[in-house]
Amino acid sequence: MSQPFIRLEGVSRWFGTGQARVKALTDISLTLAAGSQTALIGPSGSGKTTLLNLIGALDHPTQGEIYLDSARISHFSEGQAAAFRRQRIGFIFQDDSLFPELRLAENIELPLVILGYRAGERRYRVDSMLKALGLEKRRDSYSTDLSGGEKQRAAVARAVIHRPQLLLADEPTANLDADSAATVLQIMQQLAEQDGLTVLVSTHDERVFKRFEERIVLNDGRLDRS
Amino acid sequence: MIFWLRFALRSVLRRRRRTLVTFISIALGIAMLIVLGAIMVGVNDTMVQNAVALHNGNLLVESPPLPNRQAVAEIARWEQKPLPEVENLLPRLTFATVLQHDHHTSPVQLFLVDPRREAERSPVSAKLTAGKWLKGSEGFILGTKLARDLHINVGESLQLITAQGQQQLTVSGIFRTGVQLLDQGVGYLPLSAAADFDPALSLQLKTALFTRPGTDLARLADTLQQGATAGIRITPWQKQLPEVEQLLELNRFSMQIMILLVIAILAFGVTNSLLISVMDRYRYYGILKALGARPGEVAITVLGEAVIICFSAGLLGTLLGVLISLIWSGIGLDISHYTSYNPLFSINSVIHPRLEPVMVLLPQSLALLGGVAASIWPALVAARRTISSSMRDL
Repeated sequence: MSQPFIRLEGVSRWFGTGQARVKALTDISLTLAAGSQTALIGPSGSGKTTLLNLIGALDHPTQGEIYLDSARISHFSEGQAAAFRRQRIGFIFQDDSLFPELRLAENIELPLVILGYRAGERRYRVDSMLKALGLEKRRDSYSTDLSGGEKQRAAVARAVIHRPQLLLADEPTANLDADSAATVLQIMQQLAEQDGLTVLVSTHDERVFKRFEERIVLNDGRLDRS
Repeated sequence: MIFWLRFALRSVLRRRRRTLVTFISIALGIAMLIVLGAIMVGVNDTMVQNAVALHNGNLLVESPPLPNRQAVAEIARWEQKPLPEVENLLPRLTFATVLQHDHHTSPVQLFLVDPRREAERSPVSAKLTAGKWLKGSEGFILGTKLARDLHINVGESLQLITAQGQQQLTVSGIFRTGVQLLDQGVGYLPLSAAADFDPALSLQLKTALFTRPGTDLARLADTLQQGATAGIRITPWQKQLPEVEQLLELNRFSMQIMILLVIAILAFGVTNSLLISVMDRYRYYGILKALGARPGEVAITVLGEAVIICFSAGLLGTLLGVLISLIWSGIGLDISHYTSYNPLFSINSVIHPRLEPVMVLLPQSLALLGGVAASIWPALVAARRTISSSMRDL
């Protein structure tokens, strides 16, 4: 196994206090290798999204430590976490996550804008990505004019356009038909392999997790390796 | 920065219905404030015009009581002065005396005036209710209340009583201005009648100067004062009529309060609209921050929306307000129904709304500032909300 990229040690996440406290994750410890592609499997409410949020530095654990490429992200401040995310993590969200105000190309270039890339470099990268995904003709379309499959392909493009080290996808094919889902997954995995990204995809769809050799199973907030 | 402002502009354009409602509210509010401001300035103008016309002009040249001939000579000196900023000069001499008719007597302030020039500028000649205005060196005009007190009518004679003796005058006309001070206590004689009075009679110079619009009265008064004979005093109307000046200031103050209130109401509207919009888009702000956007960049998109809406609506409102004011200014607004007993509108009660740069720029500037201030809270809500709660809410 290559060098560990993600390491969780006794991570728990609870929401609320007192009797209203909900334990979303309990004592999770796991390691993912750099460049690995892993499916995070579990039924609805099992804690998949919470775990992705913690690994993606979107949230803090109630207990435990999270290391990402040796950086202890569980204790990051808001500013540190934001800086870490914009440089090293790409996110694909469930459903429609494209901004309806922006055209397709503008949605894809958003991480580059946030990182302060110059317009010429942004255009070059976006044009190459649109070509690779077969979306050149949709460059100036708004998300309302795109199909579900096109939207998720664009979401994949946006997640990898800035060449992050880690790609996190939260049920990326949840609302797609079988063909579109297969296309999106294929593109996602190809792009990840090209750039050597570590990938973690949450899903409860058998068609999705069968495509991944590495699988993590969550049940009621607890870990089960399959 | 440009990208985020473009993002804000697209958000504004995308939510057309919400934008339109907010936009129209702001534009109409600003247009209303500009029109009201122009009306307020017009009302003030009319009050000043009436006040200076009824009293002593924009500037009053006043002397202490002088012997008859010396006072006439001083009048002549002022007539010969080059005064480029003065449109009209009404030479006036005055003295206090007592009038007697039959057994009725009444104190009065008599004014010796140039009949032709006085008729051109002073409103009294147009307010005659009986008889005729002064002509050449003939005639005597007095107010309706004074005529009633003396029980006298046009064509009848009365006695003018001074320390130097008595003189007979024949009433040629009776006026009514609606101003008690004038109608009850003032009479007018031709200036040339001074020659008929005793040389020992003391007369006071009260020459009225009507200046061109926009003249700096304080500066002109200072300049004229420097070249004036000893004892002559030049006073702007604001010092002669401090009650009118105060009224104008009160009007301005009331208008400023109204502007602030309307802007505050508009600002609350903007806050409400933006807050709803931000709450609708929690998830998108969460995604934006997940992609690494800084809280400041998220805040800029919200602040940018407020600036875009307030600036563009302010521009339209200003254009609309200016247009309505200009049209109304041409037509005029007769407010005699509300001012018939008000001496400050006794001569002219038609106001012409006038645009003043401050009253045009103030509402728009305040609307922009108010809009930005109003968007701070929604911007903070969007910027500070944690990503996980933003994403969890939807």
